[in-house]
Amino acid sequence: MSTPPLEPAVVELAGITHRYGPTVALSDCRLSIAPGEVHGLVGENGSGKSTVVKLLSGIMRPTEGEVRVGGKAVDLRSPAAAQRHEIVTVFQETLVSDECSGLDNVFAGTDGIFRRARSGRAEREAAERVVASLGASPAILQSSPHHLSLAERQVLTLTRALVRPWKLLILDEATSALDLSTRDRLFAVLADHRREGRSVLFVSHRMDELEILIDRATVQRSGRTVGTVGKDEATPARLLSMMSGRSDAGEHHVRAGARSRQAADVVLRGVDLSLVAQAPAFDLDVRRGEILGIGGLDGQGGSHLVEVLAGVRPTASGRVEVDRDGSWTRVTGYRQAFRSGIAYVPGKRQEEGLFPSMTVGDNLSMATLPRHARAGLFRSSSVLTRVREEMTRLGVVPHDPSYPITGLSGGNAQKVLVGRWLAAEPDVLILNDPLRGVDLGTKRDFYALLRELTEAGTTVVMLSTEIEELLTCCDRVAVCQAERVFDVLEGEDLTYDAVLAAMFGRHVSDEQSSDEQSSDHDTHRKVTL
Amino acid sequence: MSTTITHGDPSLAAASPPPPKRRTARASSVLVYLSPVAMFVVLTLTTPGVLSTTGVMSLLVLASVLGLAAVGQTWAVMIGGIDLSIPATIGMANVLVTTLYAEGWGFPRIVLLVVVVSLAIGTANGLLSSLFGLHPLVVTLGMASLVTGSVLVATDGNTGGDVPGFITDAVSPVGSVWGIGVPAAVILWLATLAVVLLVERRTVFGRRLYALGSNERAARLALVRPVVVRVVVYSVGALCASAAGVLLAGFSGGASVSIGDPYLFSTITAVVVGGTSLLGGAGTYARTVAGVLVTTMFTTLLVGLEIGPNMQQVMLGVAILLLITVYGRDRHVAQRL
Ligand SMILES: Nc1ncnc2c1ncn2[C@@H]1O[C@H](COP(=O)(O)OP(=O)(O)OP(=O)(O)O)[C@@H](O)[C@H]1O
Ligand SMILES: [Mg+2]
Repeated sequence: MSTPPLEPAVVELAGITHRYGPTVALSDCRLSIAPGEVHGLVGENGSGKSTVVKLLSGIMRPTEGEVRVGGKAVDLRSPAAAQRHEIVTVFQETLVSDECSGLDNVFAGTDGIFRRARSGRAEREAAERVVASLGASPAILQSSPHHLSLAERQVLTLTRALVRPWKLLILDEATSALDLSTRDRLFAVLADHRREGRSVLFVSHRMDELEILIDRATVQRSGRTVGTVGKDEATPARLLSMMSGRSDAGEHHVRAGARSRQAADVVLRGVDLSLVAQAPAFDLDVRRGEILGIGGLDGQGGSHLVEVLAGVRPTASGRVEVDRDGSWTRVTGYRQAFRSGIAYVPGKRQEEGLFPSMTVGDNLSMATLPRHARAGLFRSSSVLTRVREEMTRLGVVPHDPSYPITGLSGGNAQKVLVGRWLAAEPDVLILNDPLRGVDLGTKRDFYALLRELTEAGTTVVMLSTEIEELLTCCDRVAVCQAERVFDVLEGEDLTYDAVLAAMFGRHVSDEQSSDEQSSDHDTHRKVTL
Repeated sequence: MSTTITHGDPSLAAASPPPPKRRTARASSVLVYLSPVAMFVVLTLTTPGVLSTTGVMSLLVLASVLGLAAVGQTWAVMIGGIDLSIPATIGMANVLVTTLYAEGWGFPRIVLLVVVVSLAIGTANGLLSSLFGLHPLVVTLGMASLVTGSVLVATDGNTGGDVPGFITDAVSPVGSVWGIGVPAAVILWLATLAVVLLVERRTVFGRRLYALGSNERAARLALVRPVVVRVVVYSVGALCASAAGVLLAGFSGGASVSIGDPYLFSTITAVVVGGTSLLGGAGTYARTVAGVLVTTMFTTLLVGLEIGPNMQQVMLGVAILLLITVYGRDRHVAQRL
């Protein structure tokens, strides 16, 4: 354990216990954040990280214990109180209102009772500066966020925090929806702030991010604080074993048993596909029993591609066809796609996935209920059995179908959403970034689960914002760039650098012109030029 | 398929505590279902004559009419909408029964016509509020004035006439069915209650209704067709409202297109008193039943205390505002984080 820094902590939690009714989410939690440090907060799904975040942001008050700011005990009784202490937060669930513009979202809650009709020019400029520093287009501030991608929504919530005066910024898995380049820009921005003595509490399941960013890390397990370690000790293996309480946790990797499938056996294909108007057309084959990864930076078409394949979004031109008992059936919509054996796990779990007023069981069984029904009446026992099976398979905690879905941690809620579509036992399972916010151990088990599904004949198409994830679990990876599939990588060619290069399409040579490792890049340039 | 993901937290799983939210929900629902009992006690203490078979039955008959009218309001609220066309539908059924019966139509034929018109109203409400993205407030308001207007045009303003004797009997507190001393109106309500609760709790449609109210976009992707759900919800609502309109014909003997007017406010009151969230996605008709009983007894109480209709309105309004501030605090944004 590292020695505590000499300066008084910016924010300190001492002996915190927090209960949600009878559920003990935190017990004897300790946390101390020094000025000018990036402090990691890690733990498995449901270990209490978001609860810590909510206590520090004035969303809830602890059942027991003390919150200290600058050494003095304070009562953070409301978000406004936290704001007065210059604590700003980006929450795990991206809460963005579609009812007002991006700019209004950014400044929501700053105006007084007599709300100004328009945000002032100074406000706009401040927001634009932050958005630009994150590499996003200022246009996202103007319109309603309705059509924004998850990453763009995340940029709005980041901006919302960064435009306010702060000395502690809390990021609760705020990077999970960001693509690589936006994330890197965010890290650069954070580094600047850190130099000015501001602190960051950084919650993430991504070991690579933690390694780059943090100065110290506090580990939570089952609501208890296991300890705080300094940068040198905070290796992924060490953190993982502290998180799980097992010494081998860092070791058991799932080896991607990537196999090459016969190119002929195609189960789903895009022909002359164009994702948005005027975008170049391309073909894409999805082979039976493979795991096809979809990569690419945000806004480069990856999300559009999975939506088009699932029939959720119409093609701009061209067609998507699925193999139905030997003949090609055109996919015309998602209900028809579902009847043809395609299931789609949407990416925005709050907006497109969960039913907040319903139970875990209802959320999980919604799509497959008719299968347990006769004449419109379903058999509860049969539904519950199936729900329990999926919950066990995915490790949803708590294992209680009647729990309200809003009482689950972010990662567990995500598992329920995936379970809804696993229960449908589709031929083709299309997943839009399914493991966002899911802890590492669960992820590895999930990769194994996908592998088993494919062995049983299921085909998986999976979009991911993490290159590592694509490399670990996919047989092939289609990288989208400029609203088309730029390249499909497999076998020897499927490497981190190749995926990264393809993400940037032809621009890679401009950015890394001095690089000599460019045999990959050269071939890409040949493809585009 | 044997992989089980074991990285959850075993200690929490083993304890598997009852969730807090469910507990508070249970606590508040106990209150909701106890409130009619409390109200009844108050009523018997203040109003003589209630504590008799006839007294109770007349309360129940009044409750049946409101209860039938409130089916549609409950479901509309549960899918995040509202139904302002219920009074007009009540008036439509009321006028059609009395006028056509006086003109010599057979009762089955009249019922068939009322059913067809109700389904048309419900379908139009459902389609318009889905396809053009119009707010149900606007759609059902327009529908209300369309229906009332059409009835007036069709009857040339000469509403009223005759009612079949068995309808008068159905709402008579001393009426009975098959020798059981319960008026037919009450039996009809109980039967409706049974079906409505079965649909809410045990059918695929019921789950989809809640899903639509909870998150429309997610519901679509979970294979719910919002149009279908809305059409069914507003059609069932219109059918039940028409039944209420027919029963109302038994009371006065006369008829009027505006006979349903008080039911706009009272159905919403019943839903709110029952604690069904106006945000949609939650609640149940069972709660509305409690709300119907409380509202009916409250009105009877006010009448017994010789409080005039205007003052009744004021007091109901105060009651609603109080309840909304109590219930309105659930489902806070904080829970979505
Ligand atoms: N509103 C709530 N009602 C009841 N239980 C809750 C509520 N919010 C969280 N919990 C429970 O408290 C525990 C801790 O949840 P928390 O959200 O803090 O986990 P987390 O560490 O952020 O997990 P994740 O990595 O999945 O986001 C979990 O067991 C969760 O089920
Ligand atoms: Mg969390």
